[in-house]
Amino acid sequence: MIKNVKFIIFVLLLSSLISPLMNINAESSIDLREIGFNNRGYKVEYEIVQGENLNEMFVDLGFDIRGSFSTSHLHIILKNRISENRDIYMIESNKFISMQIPVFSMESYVILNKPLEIELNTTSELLNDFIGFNYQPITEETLHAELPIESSIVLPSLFTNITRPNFGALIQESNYFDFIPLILGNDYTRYEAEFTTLVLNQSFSINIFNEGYDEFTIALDVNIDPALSLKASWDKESGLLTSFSSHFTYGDQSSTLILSLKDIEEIKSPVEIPSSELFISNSSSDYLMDFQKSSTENQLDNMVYWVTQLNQTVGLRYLFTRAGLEIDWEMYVYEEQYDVYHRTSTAIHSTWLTFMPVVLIPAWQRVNGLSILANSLWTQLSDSFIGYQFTLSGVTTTLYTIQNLEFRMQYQEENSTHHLIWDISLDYISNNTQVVVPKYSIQEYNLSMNGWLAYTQEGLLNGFSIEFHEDYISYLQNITDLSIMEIENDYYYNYIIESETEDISRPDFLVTDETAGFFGFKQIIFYSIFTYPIYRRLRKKRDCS
Amino acid sequence: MSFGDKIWKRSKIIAISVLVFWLLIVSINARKIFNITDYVADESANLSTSKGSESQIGNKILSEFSELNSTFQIVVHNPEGSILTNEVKLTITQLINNITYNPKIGPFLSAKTPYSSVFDDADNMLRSVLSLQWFSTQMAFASTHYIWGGAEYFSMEWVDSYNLTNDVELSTSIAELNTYNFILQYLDDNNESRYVNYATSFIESLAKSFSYYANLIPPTNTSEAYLLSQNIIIANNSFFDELVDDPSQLKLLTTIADSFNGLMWEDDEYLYSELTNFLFNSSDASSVNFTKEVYSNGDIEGFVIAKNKYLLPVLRKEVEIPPLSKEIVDTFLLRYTNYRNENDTVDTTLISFNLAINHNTEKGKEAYIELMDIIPLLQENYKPLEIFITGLDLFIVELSTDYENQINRNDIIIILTIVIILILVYRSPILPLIQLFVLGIAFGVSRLIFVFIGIRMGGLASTSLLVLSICLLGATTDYCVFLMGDYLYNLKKNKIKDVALKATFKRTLKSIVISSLALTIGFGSLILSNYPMSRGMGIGGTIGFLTSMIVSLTLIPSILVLVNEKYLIKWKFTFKKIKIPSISIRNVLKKTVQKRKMVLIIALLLAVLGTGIFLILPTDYAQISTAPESYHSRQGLDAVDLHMGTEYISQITLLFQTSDSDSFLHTNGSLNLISTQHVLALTEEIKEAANISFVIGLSHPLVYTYQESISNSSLFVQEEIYTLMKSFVLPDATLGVVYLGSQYKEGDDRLNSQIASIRETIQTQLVERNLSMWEVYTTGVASRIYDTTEGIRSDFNKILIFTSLTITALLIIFLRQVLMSFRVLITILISLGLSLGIFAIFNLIFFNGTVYWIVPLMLYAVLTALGLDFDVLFLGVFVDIFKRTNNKEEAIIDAVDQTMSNISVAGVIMAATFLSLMFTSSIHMQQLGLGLGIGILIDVFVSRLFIVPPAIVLAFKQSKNKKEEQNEEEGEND
Repeated sequence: MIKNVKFIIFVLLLSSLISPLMNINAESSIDLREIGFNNRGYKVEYEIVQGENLNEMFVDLGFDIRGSFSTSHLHIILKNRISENRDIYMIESNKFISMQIPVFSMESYVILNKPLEIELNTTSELLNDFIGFNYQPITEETLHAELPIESSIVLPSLFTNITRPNFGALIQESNYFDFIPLILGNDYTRYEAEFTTLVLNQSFSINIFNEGYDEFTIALDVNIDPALSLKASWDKESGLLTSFSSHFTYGDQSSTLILSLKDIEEIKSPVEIPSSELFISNSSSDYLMDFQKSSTENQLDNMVYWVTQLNQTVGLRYLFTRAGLEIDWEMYVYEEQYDVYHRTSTAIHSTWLTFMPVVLIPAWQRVNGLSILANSLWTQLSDSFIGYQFTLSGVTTTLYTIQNLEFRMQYQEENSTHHLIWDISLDYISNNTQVVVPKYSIQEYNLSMNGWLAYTQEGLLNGFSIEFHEDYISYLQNITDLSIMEIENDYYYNYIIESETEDISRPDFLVTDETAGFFGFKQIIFYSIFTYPIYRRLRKKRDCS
Repeated sequence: MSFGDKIWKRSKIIAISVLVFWLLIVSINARKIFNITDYVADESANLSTSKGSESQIGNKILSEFSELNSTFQIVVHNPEGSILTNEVKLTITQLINNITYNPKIGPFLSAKTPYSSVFDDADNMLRSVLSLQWFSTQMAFASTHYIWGGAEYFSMEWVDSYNLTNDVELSTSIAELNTYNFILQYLDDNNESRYVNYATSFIESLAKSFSYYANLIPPTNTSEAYLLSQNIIIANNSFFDELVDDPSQLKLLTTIADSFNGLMWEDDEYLYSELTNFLFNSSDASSVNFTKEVYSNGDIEGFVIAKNKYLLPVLRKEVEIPPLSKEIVDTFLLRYTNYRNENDTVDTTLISFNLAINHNTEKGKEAYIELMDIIPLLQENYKPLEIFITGLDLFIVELSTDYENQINRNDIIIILTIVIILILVYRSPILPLIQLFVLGIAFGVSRLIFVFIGIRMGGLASTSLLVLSICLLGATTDYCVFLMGDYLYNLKKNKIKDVALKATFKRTLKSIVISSLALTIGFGSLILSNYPMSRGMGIGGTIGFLTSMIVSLTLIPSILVLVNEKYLIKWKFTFKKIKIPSISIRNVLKKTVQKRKMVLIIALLLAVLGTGIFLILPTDYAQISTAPESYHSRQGLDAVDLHMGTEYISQITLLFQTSDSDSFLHTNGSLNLISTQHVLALTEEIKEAANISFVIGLSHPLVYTYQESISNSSLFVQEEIYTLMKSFVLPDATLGVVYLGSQYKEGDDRLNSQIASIRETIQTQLVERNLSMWEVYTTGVASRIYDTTEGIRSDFNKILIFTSLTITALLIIFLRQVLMSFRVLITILISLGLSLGIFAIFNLIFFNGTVYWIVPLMLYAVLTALGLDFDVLFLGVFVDIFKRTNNKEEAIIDAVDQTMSNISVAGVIMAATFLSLMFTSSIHMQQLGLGLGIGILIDVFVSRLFIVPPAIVLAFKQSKNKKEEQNEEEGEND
């Protein structure tokens, strides 16, 4: 017996000694430029350290962020590497040259470690720029929301997903992030030479640490307002960005944002354990999409235009591709009136970079986190939207009032299928007084949209649907008795995009109201156990008396 | 029944509830109390320069751009010879690797230049210069190609098409188009397509001009056409003005157009030699080869390879490469190594690391602690190289961790000492137990308040906690001894517990409340100071005195109510007591009281003498240079001093801030020579006036080259100076820096006078040169220490006067006697003077002869506290006896006699408590302990016996009438 105990202790000791060693070996032997991506990927984890003044600097942009990203983690999942022909800018000859460059498909998101409060002023320029249409809020309002701990925030690509810095973006568009590849190619002397040439631009000063160093480091001062300096280091062996720090000086404040490599681990796809390590790699499926359109008006041209726009601006195809899905894309639009299908195909706008919808990457934990995040944000924000007034000015300026805005989102797991469903509805109304013959001109919009995405355990998109419905009515109202004088325009749109599926369908929202389960089965048992002794004692008393 | 009687009736219940209340408060928050170090901020705020000083403003501006407040330096010394060898370069690179790839440090190295060492900065400098050279060479090649290649091709094409069409206009446009295509292709083939726009404009201008002249006399053959083109280019090169804005490029184009054999435009050898002549104003073979090597026919990696090849030889001054003048190499070596002149062996270098976060953040502190951990390993690994590390932040972290350790150890030592002395004094285990219990509760409560306030204020420093501990332990021990001693005395007299308790309260309550309130308000007034350390001390003292008063006054009576009086003196050990020769003390007292004026004058003289001795000693501001030698930062600083020279430690930074219009860089990025010239002139004046030996920075030491370069036609001498000088201009181009190194060490008066003289010179010079829009800040390490010293000195004086006056004013209010209150102050100051003198003498013998600056401040605090306590108690007893005897001299002697044992016990306990700090490892703590111990002993056994009694008698005389009136009033009331 004692012998066994000793043996067990020995084994435990040995294993505890060996495991760190194994980790070290695994880390040092990775070369991400060469390593295979068959049925596996890599999760790169960075820790964030945020300087103190950063919040205040956001205030100037119309944001008020309290709390900090410090100690939060940035996760980047590398899913695949392909060789792509890219136009690379050559500074010494001032032209683009086509090259074969390894390109990674990846996604990045931040997991918050502390709650983050965000306030956004509705009059901020930022929002104005974002919405367009000459949007003007009527009253100044501050939207306030708190992102709970462990929310995941999906980031736009901070780093380019190619192995080569692209100077074109840096010099011509001053897009600071575009030139920092997550993984750097092997050609360090060449990069050193190219980076050095940035010295010629008066706004940059640069330091490079290359020869003799295990890492390739560039430190760049960008002398603009706000002044910015960046430092990035790549491990020469793995090519991976090991740290990235930026230092801003804005007005008389300065702050820092630092990312430091915490961990890199190999993750499998699909994995046996249904944990957060699930992701899609090179999955491919065929979908036939059916667009049913019914309308009281002939809006087909609009519809085709709309789909084209959707395709181009949201870069839908691009997103699917980036998600690792090879989708055979066929789109039909059915015109009810003539019982005709129209086939559409449009070019993909490939340079468009966007927020990656989290739902496309089924790391279930995060899908769940997203629905929690969205719902909790919604409960905080919903009140401030009802009755919210704004103007949109085009040819005329029209005042709109939001009458109703609802949002629901839910994550469900059922028979190893993961569903994400959501409902959004928005009712708003414009109420303009016409002066020539005094009357109200009313326009009512009722928009609603519901969506559904279903993934298998392995991360394959199994089914989806997006339905968009719009009711529109405009009429003139008598200014005295508010009776409807004349209906001007009246139509509805109903667009459905859905996959052709046989065995699964969109689940309904589950009612998760806790108080409703007052007489649930468990409660009944609980109450029985709890009340039985009292009942016995009472009966005894009664019997005695 | 009066309210008081009601309370006495329920005394046990109240006592129990008070006891439970305090116990609960402490036990619930025990975790916070024990982990107090988690809530203690480090010493950085205390060490920072007083707010609003010039050096602080300058430093703030600098730190915005370079994060100067979080910098550490590594000193590398090669005892075996030069550091400018391949081998050492490799080793230093590895050393830097070890630090920059450390996961706890590396990521936080500033986004600005992560570190600077002679190798890396020379590397970057050389690369910048060579890249400029590369592009200029490319520009020269491309220009030659399109000017002369274009002219030649255009002439051929024109003649061909003219022969076909015989139409000048038509053939010109055909030739123009063809030439354009040809040049486009040619430039593209040679990797020169960035010059396509210039080429297009040039060909257009050429064609326009050509067609004008051809219309007059059409050339008939190729050579005629070429001659025409050549003439147009040479004679009419004014159209280059329209082509380019950049003066250097214009100069280049003009040179190519004027003095060039156009027919040899495809001969690379010819081009290299011609262009080298233009770029460097020299045409010897080595320069030409160097140009060739760097450009290597348009391969952009060429200059990186050349840079690596020439880096060390250039630093060692073995070779001179055309773009790098000797002065630039000198500047580099001066900046980073101990190079002074050609004959020196360069064997030491200084590597600076900037951290993007400072030690106030969790990660920053972690980084510094990691650094301290790895340094011994590095020192071991890189033998025989000697490696040292230093830096202000590192020092603060070292000091703070040291203090944190000290705080815990101090408490244990102090408590142990108190236990031992109490047992010796009371010879009974119960009384010390009660006292310890009260101390423990007071300790806990005060720390809770400390944490509570600290969280709201964003952290109180460990010195503030130290003050709190000392004040609290001192005051609580005092109050305990008063209360319990008096209780025992009254018990002996009355035998009835309640009566004894009441009597005790009556006698001691007033003096305890008066003294603790006076001290609280007196110390509390320090909170108003704008110097963070005084503020921290004020808060610590306030918490300490108030808590000890409240806890002692509630807890001790409760315990005394609850504990049976028999147990208080139970188990009393009896050992033979050494009889104090009280008779002789009485006699001496009598004499001193009789000769009171003389005694007081002598005491005053001695106090002044003591203060004088104390003032002679230099002050130790807890700077790196006075830190214990075990600190890495101290070792590093010593190494800098030894191997690099004092100039690197006593560094004064001049920060020049100009108006927007005078900014050091023009909008196109070139250097503003006028502003730079001002800096140069100002620096020269300062150097002269303050006798500064070492200057480096904007405009220095390239004065000579500067003036040369204006007349020099070489493109590169100017460009290279620009590149170098720009490293002394901050990203905000209205700011530029010059570093001065003083030959005097910190603490040296000559350094202080240098700084003062620099500031004065700047002011007068700015006015003289009519630069009223400029601001010049004198900052840097030496100036910051200077400002700190000045700040502390003036603050110390202010604190002394302000606290004294506040306490005196309060005494006047409480005692309603003006003279007596001033008398209290004067006696306290006399004992302070005496203590300082004796402390200074001890310090000279046992320590290094420098006085830790906080000691006098603390000594003053404690002496005021004690003196006041004793004095008020003493005065009460004296007045009591005087009422009966009406003989001042008798009364004073009796009063001394009666309070003798209580005060002596309290004094001995406290003195021993502080002297126990001598057993800690920190020299500062030892000084503090010694100073306070001496002070208390003097106060108790010298001041109280021989200075206070005569002073009271003296002061009492004049206030007699008033006193009598009071007595009469009291009599009437009776």
